[in-house]
Amino acid sequence: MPEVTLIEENMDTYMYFFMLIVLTALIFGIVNTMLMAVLERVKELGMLMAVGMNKFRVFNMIVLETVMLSVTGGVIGIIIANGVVLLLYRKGIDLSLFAEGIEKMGYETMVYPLPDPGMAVKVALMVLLTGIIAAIYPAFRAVRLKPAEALHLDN
Amino acid sequence: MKVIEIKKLVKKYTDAEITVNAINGIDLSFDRGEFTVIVGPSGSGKTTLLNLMGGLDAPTSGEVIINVSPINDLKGNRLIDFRLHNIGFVFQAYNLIPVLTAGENIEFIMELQGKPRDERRRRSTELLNSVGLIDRINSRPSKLSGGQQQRVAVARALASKPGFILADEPTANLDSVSTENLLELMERMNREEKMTFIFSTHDARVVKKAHRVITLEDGMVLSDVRI
Repeated sequence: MPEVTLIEENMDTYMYFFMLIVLTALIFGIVNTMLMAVLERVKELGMLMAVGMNKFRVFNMIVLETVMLSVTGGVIGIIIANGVVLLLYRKGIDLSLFAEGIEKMGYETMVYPLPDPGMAVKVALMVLLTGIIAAIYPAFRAVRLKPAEALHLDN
Repeated sequence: MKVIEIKKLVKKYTDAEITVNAINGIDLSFDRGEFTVIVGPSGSGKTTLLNLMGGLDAPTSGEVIINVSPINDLKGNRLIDFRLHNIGFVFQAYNLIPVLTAGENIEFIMELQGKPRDERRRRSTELLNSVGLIDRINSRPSKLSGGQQQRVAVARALASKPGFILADEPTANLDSVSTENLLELMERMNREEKMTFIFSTHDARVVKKAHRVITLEDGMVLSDVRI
């Protein structure tokens, strides 16, 4: 059925669009978390720069922390998602409430979703990329700190 | 041999429309092996002077020369790198990295300098031994007393083998026993390793141990007495 093919193609587009929205929200979430982390550690960052940690290293440290945070969250998310998908695969999703319309399109009323390893890898890579992008602003804020001010050394 | 030379140093802070002259044309020099304290009332410019000597802040005018290199010309990472190899810092609030052990806090500076792991381990052990905290090598700062944390901070400052150590009110948060222990440690480092120490302080116990006392007032040197 051409309509079904069209719907399936559109579903893919919708899913990527939905993922884009989720990842954009994720960027804001990560930026907020890492900015808080930077602001809470102003004194420590000031000390690190005072004793000799150069800006490149400070920048990398913040980016690395952000990426680790994102990847950890991403991996946990993928594990939970796969667990949920496997559970649903065993039990099936009962769509009998919409049976009439679905059956007309040639679908069964019980749907058994399967984990998609290819999608999991794509999501992991997108989370990694999102983490790197989200890290730039907090890392930039960190390297702009002035050690003397950060340490509150002035009397 | 001069380790620090300060020429006509001026630092002005402008906040809104008010300009504060924190340092007003100071000329000073410090020889190797000096044990100097900078005293003066709050707002006299002690910390600002230490910040300028340590390259943590830039002067409005004048020069800071460390080991014949004018540091005013250094910017960004070159200045940070200069600090890493030439200056040791001891802060009032210790400022140890909370997630690292005492040994790792000391090794961290040498790691920044690119020293090999064996050398780092050897020197951190040696330094913790000399500050009397070898048994706390694996303790995190939260498990150490204020006095012990400050001794680790001194060991950290010495780890990079700097030309001199700047200490901003290092005894301000310590009790009298810890202060006495810390001062003994610094005196010993000064005597045995000819390490130059420059303190800013309000503490009379620190002043008593000094070989030279510089008194600041309104950003100017009121007196400079060698004892």
